Amino acid sequence: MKNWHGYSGKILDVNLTSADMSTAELDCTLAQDYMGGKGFGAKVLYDQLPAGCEPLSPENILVFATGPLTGTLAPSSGRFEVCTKSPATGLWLDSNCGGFFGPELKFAGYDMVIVRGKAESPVVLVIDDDKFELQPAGNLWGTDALTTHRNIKEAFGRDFKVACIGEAGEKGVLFAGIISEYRALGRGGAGAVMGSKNLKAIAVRGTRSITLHDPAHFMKICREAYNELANSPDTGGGRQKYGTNLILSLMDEVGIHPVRNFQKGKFDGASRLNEENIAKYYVRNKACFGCPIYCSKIAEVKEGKYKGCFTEGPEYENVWSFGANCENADVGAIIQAEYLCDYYGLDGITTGNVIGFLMECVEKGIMSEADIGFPVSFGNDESIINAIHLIGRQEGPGKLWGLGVKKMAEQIQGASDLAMHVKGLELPAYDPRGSAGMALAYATSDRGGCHLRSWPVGDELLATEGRMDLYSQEFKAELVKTQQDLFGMINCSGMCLFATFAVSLKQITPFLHAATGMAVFSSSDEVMKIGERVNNLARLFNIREGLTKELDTLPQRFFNEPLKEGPNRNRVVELEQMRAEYYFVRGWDEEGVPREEKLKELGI
Amino acid sequence: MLKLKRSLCTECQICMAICSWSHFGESTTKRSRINVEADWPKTPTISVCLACKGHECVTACPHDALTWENWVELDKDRCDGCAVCVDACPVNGIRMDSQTDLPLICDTCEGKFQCVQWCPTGAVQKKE
Repeated sequence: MKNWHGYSGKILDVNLTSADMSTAELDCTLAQDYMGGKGFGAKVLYDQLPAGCEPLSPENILVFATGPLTGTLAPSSGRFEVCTKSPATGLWLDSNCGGFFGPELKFAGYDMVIVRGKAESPVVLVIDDDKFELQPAGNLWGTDALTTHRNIKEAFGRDFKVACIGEAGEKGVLFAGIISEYRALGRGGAGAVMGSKNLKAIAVRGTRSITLHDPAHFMKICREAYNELANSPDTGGGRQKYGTNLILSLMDEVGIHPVRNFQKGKFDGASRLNEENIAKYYVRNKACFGCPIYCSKIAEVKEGKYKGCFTEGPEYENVWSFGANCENADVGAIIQAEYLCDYYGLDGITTGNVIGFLMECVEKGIMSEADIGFPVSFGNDESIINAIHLIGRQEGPGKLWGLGVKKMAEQIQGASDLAMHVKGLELPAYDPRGSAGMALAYATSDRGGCHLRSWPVGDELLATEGRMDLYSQEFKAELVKTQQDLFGMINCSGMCLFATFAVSLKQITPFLHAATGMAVFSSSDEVMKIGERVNNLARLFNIREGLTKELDTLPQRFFNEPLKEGPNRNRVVELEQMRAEYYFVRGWDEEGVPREEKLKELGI
Repeated sequence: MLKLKRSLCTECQICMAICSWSHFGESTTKRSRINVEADWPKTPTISVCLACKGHECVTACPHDALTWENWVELDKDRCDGCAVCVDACPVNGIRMDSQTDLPLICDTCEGKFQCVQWCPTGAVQKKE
């Protein structure tokens, strides 16, 4: 057996159909070529998932994967990934989460858990160091995700770390997430896949250590990186004070914060819904494992209609999806909405999109309040809360809403122009009419409408040097490609994307090498190549599942409907040229298919 | 010695990781002498030796394995892992090391106070 450094060295393979479970040693080539996290998931799914497999069938595979930095003292390295075929898009999905589950999995001795098949009845996978077993989920099935955490810790021990689903995942809501240590792997419906396998939760406890290749150097660069993070105005300032909401009023000022289901360029409620006002609800700071940034908050409502409500958050994206997107400026309602998403196990971005979509359908007369059963209109906070309950419980019209806007629009005549998604994944909180980079980022993201595959608006608005023009298409292809490969690599490493806002690639590479001792991690170019390799493999996965160039696009609204107000008045998106350039810099052909030479260069 | 301000604690467990690292050279939180226990969404509990006046673990130890000299010192040869000290501690500040079955008691890193140095928020402080 190899003496692993950085890695724990083992993979746990669980077949729920046969209840067979086995461990295997981590493969050296897999670690060198794909590093961990998203990379491990991409390799497993590309090699082992049958093409065209139904995402909610036992055939689908659910991969929980950590990276070589997960659980180490490298700053903000508590992350893990879940990879699967998405029931929302029918394409590649990887979803990333912090908290404490990933590190615990490594302390128990596992870099990755692969889950296959479908249990006969609901089960919980319990991993306790070398012992692993499937236990009947019993009363946990039907229990909300937050109570499930508490009940599992009471039953098995307070030091167990949990990843579980709520009612939404059990009932197959296509945007159900997995909730882990009260945080969410929200996007793309991994919770529905888990539910379809009758897997209520994974509980893990480990007592081991991770060994490092060059501990002295590792600790030296750790200390340096902690200092970088503390001195950055972002990770050591705004993000600590305001959480992810730190950019809220900036995005509003530049008209990028989308309003009214992407119909408007200016939010009248911005004076109430800004980071200063939201910070008044914070009662304490909260961090994931090993993270000095502590961007998470516990927020509580002290007065008014939502008095007593609380959440871990609210995060920027949910503040938008239940806020400006629904033209709602009531912070209390947003806090309750986010809490309910965690309770039912729902993706907050998509849930807010579905509600914004319903609101516009009613506004346009495409749907009536009779179809819905209660008043639904922009600015009406109660319609948000009512809708989340119906989606989470899958009651009445909530069954249709649980499909997400793309599939809803296929069933509601005349609604397709109102469905704000890319490839079936609903859009997050940046209006691409105000940022050429975000337009390309959305159109080319491997999992659909997403701001976390690349975030060019950062270089367009926040960069202190080499800032790019918001509207220019020049060099956006290069920027998006480079960021996608960097973020892709970060999602393999176990480190959090937010750490990269202060710690550069040149500083991250030495962590990977000092942790693992693997020669391939000694050069930043090689490390970035892993990001590129993983993204190309995800592209091949998507092409195998039927992705074509025509899907690398945006909702028609952005091409046809100029904004009527705000800083981006009269602007629309022009995508085609940027997309062609992007394919070119990626080494893909005109149809967006990776060329032979590129695959050869990457060793795929 | 240490003093705690748990309202500042973010549950990041950096103190636990650096403690395990400083004493054993291992990357884990499991061999730490300081323990952060989450109680979401409530404020977490931090447990560690706070150097009580009576040095109650020293008095309670039936094998004379503990002595007090600026901090609690463990004589491994005398300790049989009976964990009487764990129960004697008035602040729940002692845990047993699952790898050695010996008690884990804060020694302030012999005055270097690594957890204080690494805590990002000042939740763990040096008592002057």
